[in-house]
Amino acid sequence: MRPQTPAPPSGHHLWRCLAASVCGTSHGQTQTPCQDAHAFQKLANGVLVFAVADGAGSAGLSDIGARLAVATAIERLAAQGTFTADLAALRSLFREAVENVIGRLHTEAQTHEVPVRELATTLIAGVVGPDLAAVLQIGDGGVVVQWEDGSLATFSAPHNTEYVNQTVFVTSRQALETARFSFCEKGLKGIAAFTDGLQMLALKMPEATPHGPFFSPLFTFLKNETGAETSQRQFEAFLTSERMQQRTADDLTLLLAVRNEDKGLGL
Amino acid sequence: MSLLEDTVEFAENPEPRCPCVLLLDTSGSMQGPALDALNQGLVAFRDSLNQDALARMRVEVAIVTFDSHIKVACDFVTADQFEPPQLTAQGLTLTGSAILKALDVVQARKATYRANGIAYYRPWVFLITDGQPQGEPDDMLEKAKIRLHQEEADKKVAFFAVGVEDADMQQLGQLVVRTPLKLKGLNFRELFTWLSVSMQRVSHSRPDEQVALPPPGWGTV
Repeated sequence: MRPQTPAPPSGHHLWRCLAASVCGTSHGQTQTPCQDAHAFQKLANGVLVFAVADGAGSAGLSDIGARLAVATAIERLAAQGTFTADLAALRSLFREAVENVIGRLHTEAQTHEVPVRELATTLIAGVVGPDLAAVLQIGDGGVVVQWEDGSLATFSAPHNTEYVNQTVFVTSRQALETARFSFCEKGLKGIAAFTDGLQMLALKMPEATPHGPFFSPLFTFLKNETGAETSQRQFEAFLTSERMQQRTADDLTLLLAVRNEDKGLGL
Repeated sequence: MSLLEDTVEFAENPEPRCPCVLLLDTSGSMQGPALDALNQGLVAFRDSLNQDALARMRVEVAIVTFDSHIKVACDFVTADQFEPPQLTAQGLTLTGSAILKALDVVQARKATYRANGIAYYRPWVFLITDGQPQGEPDDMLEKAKIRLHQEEADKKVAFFAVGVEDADMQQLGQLVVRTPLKLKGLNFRELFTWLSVSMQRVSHSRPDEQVALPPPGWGTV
């Protein structure tokens, strides 16, 4: 059910990307579809646009909400085509992307004749190019980056709410006010975006610092991949592994991107 | 080539906690079959919580008893460490002071969680009483009511009340925000099994999930 992600043959693009959304096993709960979604698109000028979303467990159509949210956000970001380090312009672009998402969810809600909260979802959308990265986040989940020197940093952190089973959604009234925008004007080696299901395994709380032994092997794995299909299978096997599911019952989404080695950086 | 899942290590974060205070009336009128059933109910509560792997680690139970004195009979422990005390009954019914104490206990626990970087769910307080407040100044009940209503409005706590046998349900209804339930007979076992299942659902819940509680077959409105 993944949205179409047209991409040039791997190796020709600055970014190598791998992503999967898998269904949680939350026992004691009724079987529901995977309410996580992701999408990415490689643009011509070495830019990767991506989005991940976590549909609300309590909302009936949040699987649809999450899919529409990532597709709509990607569409707006991809349409932009080129990105410059103009903070105000980037902010308003992301704002527009979120407004498009909200509009799309309202239309969808009308079609299904349900309140828009039935499509409630979080959203993390981002752009990463040769020398800049920008991310907008509404709700929980997070984005971790790997700098040129190999060190890791939390680029966008989960929203702080008092209770663990509480977050903000794109459909919440305060969505745009609480949205977090993060930006850097330098090259990255890698970037990872993930939904709430991975938060406790990937970040050291409450500081929300990246757990190195979680991310480093993943970035290395993607960097050394030899065949896209095999990598995707292994990646999904990892996300659905028993070890993983013992630790989290939630739906999981992980999107990874690493920069292909290019001469310009002398790597 | 080694499997990806063998190379990735997970962060060790403390389990999020799901605190639950049992606020139990141990006044003289509870003496006899009611107290026996309550004590057995607590054992059923422990047993049921411990059947669930996540609830064992996440649900934290505290017991505050009230009669002529307010006593923390059991401070917060995770379900796997919970040993139900053998309660005895005597004296008056200091309901207002008891409610204030329960809210204090909840507040202190949250502070401990925050100081230790532990994530948590909205705390529950579960009041079980069989009579009318008795033995404290009139304004104590009013004070408890005002604070309870405020804390419910601020989503600081979810406060449930259950009346047993001759409890004054009307007065109880005025005191708390959520409609109190009347226990059918002395069906504490069913009540605590329900509470356990409810806490299990909360402890499994995902962000912003409105947890659907099972129907309380043990009580009537």
